[in-house]
Amino acid sequence: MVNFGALVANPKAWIFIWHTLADGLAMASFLILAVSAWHLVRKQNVDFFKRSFQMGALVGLIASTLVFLGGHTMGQYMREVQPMKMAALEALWETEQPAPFSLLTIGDLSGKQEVWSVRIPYAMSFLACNNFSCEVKGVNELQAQYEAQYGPGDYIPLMVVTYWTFRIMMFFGLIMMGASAWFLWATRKKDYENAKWMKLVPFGALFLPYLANASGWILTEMGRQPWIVYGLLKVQDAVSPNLTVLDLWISLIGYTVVYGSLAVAMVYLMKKTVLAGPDAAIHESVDVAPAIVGSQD
Amino acid sequence: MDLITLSRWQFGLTTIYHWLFVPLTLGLGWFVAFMQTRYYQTKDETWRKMTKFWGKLFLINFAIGVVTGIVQEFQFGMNWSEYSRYVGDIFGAPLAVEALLAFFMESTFLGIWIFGEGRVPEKAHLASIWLAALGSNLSAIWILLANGFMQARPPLPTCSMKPTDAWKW
Repeated sequence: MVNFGALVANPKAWIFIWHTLADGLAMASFLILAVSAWHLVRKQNVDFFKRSFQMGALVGLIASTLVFLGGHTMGQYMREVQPMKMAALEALWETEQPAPFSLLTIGDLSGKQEVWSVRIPYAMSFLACNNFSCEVKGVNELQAQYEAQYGPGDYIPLMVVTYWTFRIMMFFGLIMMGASAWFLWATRKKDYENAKWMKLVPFGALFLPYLANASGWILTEMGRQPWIVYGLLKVQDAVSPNLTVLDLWISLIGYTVVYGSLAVAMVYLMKKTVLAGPDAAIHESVDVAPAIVGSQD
Repeated sequence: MDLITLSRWQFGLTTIYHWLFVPLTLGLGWFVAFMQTRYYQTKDETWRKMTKFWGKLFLINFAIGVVTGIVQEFQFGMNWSEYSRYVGDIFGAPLAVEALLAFFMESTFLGIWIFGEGRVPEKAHLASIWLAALGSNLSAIWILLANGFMQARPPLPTCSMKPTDAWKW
């Protein structure tokens, strides 16, 4: 390590941090919204959950707006440092100026050839550089450029994955922003908990952020393939040389079983706590903590 | 499936699983800290109930996030040893800072928060949840700095096997 300061000052990482920490807040807001709405529909602990719901709506709107702005900033930075990811998430085969935003692109089964597409002109240039005229490089040009730079090989990420995860992330993210704005607007009425849409909130608010969030990370990690360290080391050269296929099957199955049971335990505990409500939480913690540390006070 | 594909799947699945729990911990910590602060200021019983209820969900989620995070750190050495050999000097640093400063800070103060109610002064108890929330977010910052290096390292003229050379940018 020569320059620890450069590692810490990496601008790409700070845009990521902005995007991700705000996303954590948005996710927590939506869990609070979901759980609160579930109890509000059932008229349980109304004051408690109305206060929680209002907090969730306010923070949710601020946080998802920050996530959105962070993502937009990231787009402009990505064009410079990871142009291939940008081209792949757009399924943009040829370099275009100004670049259109794809509403729907259908590729062939290899994911490397376009069959049919509908595109909004100029929109991609806006996403990539905040104006309506800049050039966005296409996959084919970048592939040729990388081959010249790093030697022969396939430098194109799996476009089916990058294209769709980008859309899922963006679509659900925008819904979250709109929904939290709507919730905040709705809470100006005193009896908003009786509204019909309230019944939809527990389910929707629980799953949207998880889908958006997982898609975002799948996009960013799949989008830099084949690189493990961009431009320096490929994934295929990073794997442990002494591993066998059998080893990996054993560990993969092992993880799946252990993680599966963890998920069951987690869902069970969360559900139990949520359904039991605030009164149970307050009594239990009073009883349990002294028992664990072995004190009687 | 071949070795690379299986390794990718394993890392991908364990990371996504880990990441299902982490962001909720990151955000919920601030909420709980805020609620407890409001209780401290107003002594309004609803704020106390809110702290307890959302705090409990925060703790369940935190526990699973930790367990699955440890698996990730092991994988760098066990499944991706060539990677660790090549950039470990650089990548290892933020990872170590994360564990030693941010994660230890987070878990220590979380311990004080869980067991310290009524045993430590009210102010210290309140400070512990703020520090736990801050610690978990610092954790994320260090991990993202490590990831940022993998995502956007400016191009090099030559690819040296010496990490010191690889880091001159």
